[in-house]
Amino acid sequence: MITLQNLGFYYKKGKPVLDDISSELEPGKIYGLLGLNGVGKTTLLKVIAGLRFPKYGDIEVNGHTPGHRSIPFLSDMMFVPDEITLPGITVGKYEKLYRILYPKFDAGKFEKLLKDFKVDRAERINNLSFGQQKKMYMAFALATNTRVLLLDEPTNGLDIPSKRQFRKALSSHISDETLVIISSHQIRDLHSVIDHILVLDNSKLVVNGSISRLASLIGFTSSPVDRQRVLYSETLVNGDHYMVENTMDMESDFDIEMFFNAIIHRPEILRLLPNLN
Amino acid sequence: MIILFWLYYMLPDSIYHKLGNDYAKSENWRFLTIINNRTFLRAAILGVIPVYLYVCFGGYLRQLKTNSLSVLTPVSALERVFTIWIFSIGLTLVLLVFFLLTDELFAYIHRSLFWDETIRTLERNGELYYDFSPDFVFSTLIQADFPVGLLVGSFLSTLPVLFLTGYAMPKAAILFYPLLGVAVFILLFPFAPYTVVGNYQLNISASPLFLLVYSAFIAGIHFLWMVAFYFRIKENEV
Repeated sequence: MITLQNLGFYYKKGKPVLDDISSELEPGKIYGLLGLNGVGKTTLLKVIAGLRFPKYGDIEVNGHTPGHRSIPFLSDMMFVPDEITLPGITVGKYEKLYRILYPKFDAGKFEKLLKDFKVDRAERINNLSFGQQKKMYMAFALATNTRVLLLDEPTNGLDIPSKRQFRKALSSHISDETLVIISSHQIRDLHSVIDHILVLDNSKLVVNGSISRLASLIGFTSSPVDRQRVLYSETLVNGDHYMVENTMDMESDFDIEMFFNAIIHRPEILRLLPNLN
Repeated sequence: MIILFWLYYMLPDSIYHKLGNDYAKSENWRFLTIINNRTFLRAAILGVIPVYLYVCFGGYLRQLKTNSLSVLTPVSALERVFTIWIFSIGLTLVLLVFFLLTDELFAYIHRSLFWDETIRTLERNGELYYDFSPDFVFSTLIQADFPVGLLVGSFLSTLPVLFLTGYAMPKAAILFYPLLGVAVFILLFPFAPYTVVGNYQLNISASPLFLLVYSAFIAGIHFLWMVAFYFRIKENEV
């Protein structure tokens, strides 16, 4: 469980990046953290990971204060940044050195993931491409079986088959105890994996809701609809698409991207969606 | 370093000879340069390799600080401090070994290249039993009783503190370290047993008691710096 209580952070005084954020994130869920460039998604992940310290407010991760960087906290949390710098040793040596720091490390899982990602454990890490290094570290992160997994742009640099493998690995990783937060611009890569959405806008956490709950409130259609029900619309190559109030229990695939665009361009929509944070 | 030595011995117009040295104008300038016992200059040239190694390893230490993965490795701050301190001491010892080995190597090269020429020149001048003191370039700096005295000792024994400062406060490290070395020298000097030789030479004797005080003082500096470093690591944001 991650508890944020009036959390605030800034790099420069007077320009908050995170402002008075209060929320609870529960285990057993995969959260998609969305926001425009520079809104503070990575910063929020870093504050949760303990890399940055909140300027005010409190944060607790599974009973630990991240800023203390205690060993029980660090050994039960993995942060996979967008850009990874790893030592120039072989993959096998890296596993041998670092696995002992994570009590729940599963060597069999790591081996399987390396095979799925087609990464050779005998290869030196600095000889691997950017995408391969990321896959290797992702495999390691998943194999640690930590209760908190923070991923910053995890599909950046991955080829198409690897993205599929990643989705598959992540889905099988989740348990009732694990909490995953994925910050990504590439929603289409993770659409099938995310079950909760967090939206950061103007230093506030404006949405924290499950997709199933949102889908009960909002529907998506490309058929012409009553204008009064339309919350947001987009004209795409294949025609108009509408985001509507779901007053008639319609079933439709929840379009995360369109929902995000709607929130950003028409923030007043949030007033129509109760208890989303 | 090889280039610097080459400039020193092969070019009479090089900067070394222009710095208060009249040898360049002399006919046998090379001979005079060789038998000149400018041990400080030799130490400065040999010091290039340790400085270069420090610059190489300093980047690695800084990367440890800025890499989010290393900051989040499940290792306590105390273990980090201790490990980096041991690394710094190890690195200091490696730099010293490099310094001593290159000193030995260059003394050997000098003997191979210039010994015969020097003997012949001296014999031509009627000097049959010339006294080659250990200060000459044919001996190592250690044999030359290079004044590794209190000042140099203060800098050498606090060198690991420089590495730690370069990690924690890189901008302050370059200014901080010389100040620390001088401060240690000034604080210890009143307790150092010394004798005056001639008009200007000060010999500091390494009595057991003084060495004990010196070691305790340096250990105290290291301990205080590690404590500061411990808290600096805990406050480090990436």
